[in-house]
Amino acid sequence: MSLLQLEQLSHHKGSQPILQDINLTVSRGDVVVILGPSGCGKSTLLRCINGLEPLSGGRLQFAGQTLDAGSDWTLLRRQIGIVFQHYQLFPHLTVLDNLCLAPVVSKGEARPEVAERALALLAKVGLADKATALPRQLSGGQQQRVAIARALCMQPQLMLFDEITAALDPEMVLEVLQVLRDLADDGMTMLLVTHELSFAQAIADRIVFLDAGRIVETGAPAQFFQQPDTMRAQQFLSHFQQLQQMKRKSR
Amino acid sequence: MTFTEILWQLLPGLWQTVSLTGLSLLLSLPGGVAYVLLSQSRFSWLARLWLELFRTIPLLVWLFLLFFGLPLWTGLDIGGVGSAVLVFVLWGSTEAGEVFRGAWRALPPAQLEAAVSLGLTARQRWRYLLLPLLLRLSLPPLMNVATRLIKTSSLTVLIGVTELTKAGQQIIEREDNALLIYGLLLLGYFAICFPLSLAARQLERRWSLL
Repeated sequence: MSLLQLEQLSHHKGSQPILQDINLTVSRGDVVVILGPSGCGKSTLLRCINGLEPLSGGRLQFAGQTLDAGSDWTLLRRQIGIVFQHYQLFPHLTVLDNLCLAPVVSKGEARPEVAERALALLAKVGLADKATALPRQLSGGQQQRVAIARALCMQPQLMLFDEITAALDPEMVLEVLQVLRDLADDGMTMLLVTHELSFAQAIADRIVFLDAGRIVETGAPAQFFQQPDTMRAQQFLSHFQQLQQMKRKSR
Repeated sequence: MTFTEILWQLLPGLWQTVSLTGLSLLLSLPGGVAYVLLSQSRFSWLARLWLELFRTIPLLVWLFLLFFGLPLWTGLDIGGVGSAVLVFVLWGSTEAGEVFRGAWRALPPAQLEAAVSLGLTARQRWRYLLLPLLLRLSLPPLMNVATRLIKTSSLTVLIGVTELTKAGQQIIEREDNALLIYGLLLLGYFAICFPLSLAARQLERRWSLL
């Protein structure tokens, strides 16, 4: 059963098209990884789904709701979580309050219940002992795990991850990817933009390859990585292979 | 005069200083908001002019202008305290306004986007994020504005306001013990300003966002 459906979705910045003719269906439990060269519109696509960037055309269906360019996104945002590259925790609130604020304030849940759930989520991402810490006292990897827990605390039906390991030191990437792995195993529906290709291959049910604002190829990871259909995807992958080889040689 | 008597004589002066600057500071807060709004409007040149008038013209000249000039030219006499409050509010508003502007610019815009993505409405974002963050960013520098206001209030001695410095001078005229009295004045100003300055630094550290 499809949870999210994008129909002819487009986004323009001024007169410049950033996304065009995006059609995508995501079923419950799907893990979809969006790949593509930088500037192809990957992040914008995620941001459009959460209404952080306005649609210029097309529409979006999510769990029985239909939204288009003129819709109010506030309700939908409470059902779709997003995690950003730079964590973006609320700097004046403790870790626990970062998690509790939105469920209590925007969903009107009772604080004790939310706090209980928040503590369980913190334990799940390995940060049970950091509930009373302030964001500035945490490492980048820890802050990013808090950001994931904060989004999960809203009990979303869909999670969007926008290059969430791109700003992290290499030794912290693993701890964050492990959290994503666990989430996928729990059956969370996820849309990821990432540059960790081997991770993408391991976690994805489906790869969506974006180039110049259009979806040029979708497929199962094994097929996409072994024999991509399109020229653009082949070029993209061979660049990455060269990069890998260079890294290996210089080691 | 005994030492205790001297202290009792200084007390009304101290109260004048504190109430004068306290009132000026209090009125400077909405004044600062007005200054920010003006600087964001299409009359921003007016805010610029306002700021420059108080940055380039000595406050003493402003005090004289209002205290001596105003009654002369308009027949309107607002007295020493009135002139002092008016000048300090007009000046304090630009100072507080610049603090608010700095705090606004220092707000991390990305965090607000995170709040949007969590489904918080505009009102909720103000209530739970913007206002608390603005308070944390502006209160410490506002306390520093307060200490400058307190020190500058000693200028009003020249337009006949009986604040701390004037009260001291009156005792000196009668008792001829300048060293002791000025020493006490020094301690008095220090006793008001130092805790403020200390608290500002403490808050700044505790509320650091990074």
